[in-house]
Amino acid sequence: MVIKKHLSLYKTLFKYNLQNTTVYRLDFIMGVIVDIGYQLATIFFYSVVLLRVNSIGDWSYHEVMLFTGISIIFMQFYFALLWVFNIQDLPSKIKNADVDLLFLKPINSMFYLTLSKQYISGFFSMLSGVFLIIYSLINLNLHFNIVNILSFIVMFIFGLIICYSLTVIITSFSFKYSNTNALSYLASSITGLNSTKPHIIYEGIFKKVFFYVIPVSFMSSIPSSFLFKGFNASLFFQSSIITLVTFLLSVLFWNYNVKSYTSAG
Amino acid sequence: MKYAINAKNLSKNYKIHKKEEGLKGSIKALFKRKYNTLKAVQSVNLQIKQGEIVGFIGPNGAGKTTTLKMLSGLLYPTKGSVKVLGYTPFDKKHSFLKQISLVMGQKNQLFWDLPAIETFNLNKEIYEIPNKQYKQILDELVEMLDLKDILHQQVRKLSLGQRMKCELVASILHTPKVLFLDEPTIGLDVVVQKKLRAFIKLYNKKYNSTIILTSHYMGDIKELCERVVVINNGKIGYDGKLDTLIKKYATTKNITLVFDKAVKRELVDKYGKVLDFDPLKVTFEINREDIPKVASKLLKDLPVDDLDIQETPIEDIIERVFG
Repeated sequence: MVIKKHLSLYKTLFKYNLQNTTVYRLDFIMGVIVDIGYQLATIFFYSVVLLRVNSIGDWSYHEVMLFTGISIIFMQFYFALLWVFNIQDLPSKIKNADVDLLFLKPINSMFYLTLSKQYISGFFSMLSGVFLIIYSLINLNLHFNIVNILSFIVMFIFGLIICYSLTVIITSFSFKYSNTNALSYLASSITGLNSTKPHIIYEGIFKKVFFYVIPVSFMSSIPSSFLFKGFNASLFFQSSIITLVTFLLSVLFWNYNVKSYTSAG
Repeated sequence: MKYAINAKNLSKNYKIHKKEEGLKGSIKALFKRKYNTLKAVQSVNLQIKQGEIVGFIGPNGAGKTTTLKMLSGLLYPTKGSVKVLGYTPFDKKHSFLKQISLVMGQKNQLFWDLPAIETFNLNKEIYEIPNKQYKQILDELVEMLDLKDILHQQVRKLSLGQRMKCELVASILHTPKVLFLDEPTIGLDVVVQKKLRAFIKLYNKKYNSTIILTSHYMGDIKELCERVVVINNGKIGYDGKLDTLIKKYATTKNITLVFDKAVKRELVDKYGKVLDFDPLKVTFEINREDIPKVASKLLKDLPVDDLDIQETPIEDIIERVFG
């Protein structure tokens, strides 16, 4: 019942954001152009570097390109659904007590303050990622089965939940320590660690850190590998546990830190 | 007796960072900080019955808004206990939040770039108001506040008064049993202020809702509240009938005269205590019961172009309450 209510609210809020976006047409078009331009520059940079080294670890040039395309889509989901209009401004909203009225609504505050607004231009910026995925798939000539595809989709969603949870854990401290814009940027930098770096580049202690302490490897890199390296039960199990633990921790941290909220005025 | 609001020894302290002035102070504060404890609210006891409208008055920084925020569940008290409609507010149970509302004159919840109706529709979903009830209450509120023509206009294109009316509608669509109104008429012109007061009165009567109102305008308090609570420095100094407060502490009114030609100071001194004087304008403080007599004498004796009688400002009453 509660989930149904929040899903329905999300649909309504999405509709309003879409309406809001169309109010300022130029801003919307410029947003799409700037984002696509940025993604194309990233792709260009990687293709230039990879043309010289041909592969990273046991990932071929086209496998890395496929991963880069998936990462672009992953990060655009992150920016569009979470960061740009929700997390980025949350510390200043807390400092200025702009969240007061929201706390008095019969609605989950974590849901509303972290997910209520969407950066619609971000969805269009996924196009460069889609283009890269198609290009890589044509060159890779992969033979997919249903397990590959389904496990990739589930792992990709797990990755988004991990990313969301880590961001919420870090940003929730803004309730305790006001004026902490650095926190929202820290959250985006940590997730950015993942955006264009495959997990195979980490070894030794770094591998452990990025698997189990700050599990960025499970965000888009490991899910991507399920497409071209096949299903891996151990990684799937680890990802499930990490997703559950980080999400529960995010709820705990949010509820704990919200108690420190002192409003203003 | 069961109260809608029952607060006992409610206190709230804030830890305030005390910074030395200048750049040196800022750099020092990076390494070592000094904190002061600000006692925003101190041992407040408040019992309010269902259906009562209570005026909560005090100067800026007196603790009014902090008290409202604790009563509504926004802030955790440092000490004391509070029950609103039988709930502990800061548990923020959804069943509790569906029965209260906090309206702040300086905060808004309306979507800035969309028409107000979109925010109303969203609140319908948030508060899970059934379709039939929503339509009925919305029609009623729109009619009462005369909002029909602006319902589909972008919020940013509305005047401050129109926006405040819409804010109020957005806050009470779920017909809350307890309504916290924090300066709802701030910055509004006299006509809109009057309309909002009439509306609040009507709403209270129709839904038997409990209302706590803070305001700097004596007009709001006089027109709406039989009972007032006066707070200063976080402590309650008076809790009782407004009439008694006025009889006891607002024993005077101010009369301001504008002259159509310059008048000498010695000519005005004999009519009462002069608060402010310039040859073309004078303000007197006159005992309440002497107002008709003195006003008529002033009009007869002096070259009066305009005469205005004002209530004692709330700040002055509060000053007298706290001695």
